[in-house]
Amino acid sequence: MSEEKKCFIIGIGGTGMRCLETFTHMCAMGLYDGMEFNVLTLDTDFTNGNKNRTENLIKDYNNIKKTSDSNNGTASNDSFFSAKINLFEFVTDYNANGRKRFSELTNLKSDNDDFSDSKMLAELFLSEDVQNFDLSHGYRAQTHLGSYLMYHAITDLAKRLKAGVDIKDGEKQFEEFLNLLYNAKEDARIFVFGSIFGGTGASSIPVIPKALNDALDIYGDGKMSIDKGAKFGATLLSEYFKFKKPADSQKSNRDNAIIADSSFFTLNSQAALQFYQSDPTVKKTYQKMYHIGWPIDAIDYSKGKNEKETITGGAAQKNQCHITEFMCGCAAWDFFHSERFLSEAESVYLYKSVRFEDNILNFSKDDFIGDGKNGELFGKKFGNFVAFMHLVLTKNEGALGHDGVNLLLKRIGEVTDIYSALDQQYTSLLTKYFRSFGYTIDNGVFVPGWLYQIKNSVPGKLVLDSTAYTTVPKELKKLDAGELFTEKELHWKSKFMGGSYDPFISTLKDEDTLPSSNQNANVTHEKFIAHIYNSINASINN
Amino acid sequence: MNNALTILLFVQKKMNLRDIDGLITNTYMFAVITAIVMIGIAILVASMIQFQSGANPKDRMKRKIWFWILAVLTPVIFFVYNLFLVLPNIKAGPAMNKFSLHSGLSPVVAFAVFVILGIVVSKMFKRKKVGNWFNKVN
Repeated sequence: MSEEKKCFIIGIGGTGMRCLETFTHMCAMGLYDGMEFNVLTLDTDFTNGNKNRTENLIKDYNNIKKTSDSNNGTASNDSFFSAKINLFEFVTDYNANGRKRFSELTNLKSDNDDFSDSKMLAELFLSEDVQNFDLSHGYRAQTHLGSYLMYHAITDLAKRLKAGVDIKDGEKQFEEFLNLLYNAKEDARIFVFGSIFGGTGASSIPVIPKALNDALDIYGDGKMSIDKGAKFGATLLSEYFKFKKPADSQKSNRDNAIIADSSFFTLNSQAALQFYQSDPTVKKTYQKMYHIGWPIDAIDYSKGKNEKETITGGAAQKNQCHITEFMCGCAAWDFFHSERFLSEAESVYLYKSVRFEDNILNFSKDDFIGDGKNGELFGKKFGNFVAFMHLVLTKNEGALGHDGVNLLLKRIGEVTDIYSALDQQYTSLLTKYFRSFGYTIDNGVFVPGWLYQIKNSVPGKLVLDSTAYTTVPKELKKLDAGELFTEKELHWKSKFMGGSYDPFISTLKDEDTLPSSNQNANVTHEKFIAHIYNSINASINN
Repeated sequence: MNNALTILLFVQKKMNLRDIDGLITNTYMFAVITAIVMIGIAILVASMIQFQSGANPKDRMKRKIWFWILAVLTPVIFFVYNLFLVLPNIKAGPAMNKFSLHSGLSPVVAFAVFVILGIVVSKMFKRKKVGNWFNKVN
């Protein structure tokens, strides 16, 4: 393998999308310095709330990085928003007429011979309800059906791409992704995000490497394939959430005759793990599999929502983020940063554990991407980005609807005029990004963003002091962005009775905090971000 | 030397017409010195007022207000100094008549020097906190 890694990430299904959300925020924290990623979102449901939320987040990220030369900027070093993300979307469209059910897709419906081989084979594996439920909201925990259909959707598209007829814009993105994968040769590193207990992700993880390889084979007329030196990694994320049990009345409709029942998620996870443990194809395909589990009661996504029916998908499926998804993002970090076990002939299963005692689960900086230098790196990047968020949302009232970045910029404008070219379109976009990351206050009601959702799922400490996650308006007013850590040595320089904001603004004047050439910040907005990054680092006491 | 002589005269005896020319020069020098000291205090006050965050930070306005408070205090302080420490030591009559005009003018000079110095310092260090004295508050 050459020095130059080509990184690919595939997010599948609702959980895969939320893992991608975490991944994007990790890029914003600067945890993937100088790297470029080709990200494919893969789902059965183009209206899915989690999918749209994630794609919009990545689009916002890319607009923040956008330059006159590139729609998604360039990778920078030692800064926030330092990775470059190329987004590709692929939806197995089950909304069109004649594509809504298994029986329609496979033409079994129009097969009049009750004893045809196809019909008898289908009936052997799939009940009538499974053959006829509405696929537009995913595979509904029917992984035996899902794996078949996902493989079919990918190879079917490859056939159409090869023919070059009636290709939609979204499908062209998949073609581009396939070409990049092929051109990456042995430098390709592909990481797959998804759960193993639900529908779409669980169905796709086992088949995706083979499906992509076969798609390339079809598309390239037998001359293209994924290089044998390419490396695959995936998360094996077992159950961590539950939702309202479907009522019989909801299931009386043919479209909804099959609905995923979260009470079976534990069983699904167990069956999936047994499969991964014994399936020779999967074991040969994936080099690293990261087993991520949740030891405490599953979070109830239906709680307090007063849902009349079980949400099967669509725009209404906008589930909160969870610490396990953050762990999946960290698994991807390990996969792209560590060479360990990549040459093994069979999958290596990796895990790490966190102490759970007296119903408390405390996460320190060493529990995410490793301890030692990695732990220091994580603590610095995570803490500094949360501090930046509080500077924008809390100190400069971005959460209350103001353009917090613009207000911060005005303050910076008093000490330097090098960012006078930054327009309000940019500052409001960055403020918007921080709202998705942190929180907003809407009509006096605290609305958690990614970070606070993650914190809500942790019954204990999450790296920073508990005051860093306060939702109480009075405490937020008093919050000091330089005192987020419990450890005093990580606090920023501050003035007696005055806090750290004043010295921080003064730090921006220091020549030392100006972006350096090795940060690769070439345009004004990249310099601004790098300058803030440097000033936050310089503000820390030691 | 002149200053020391003046102070000595204050202590020893009341001044007459002969001493007034020197007193006038010294008074204007004191006015300038007072303005410089007050500008020093204004710089200190401006630096002590911390940067505030949010949509309506008050720190810039506070610095402005404090500048003008000190600007007003400068002639007042100097006038009070003249009134209580200098004028009682001047003999009534031609000496008092000659000095009274300058006793009124010197606080104005102190004020003018304070404001001019303020403008110069503010423009020289417009990126520092003192730059807020004459910057538009936005």
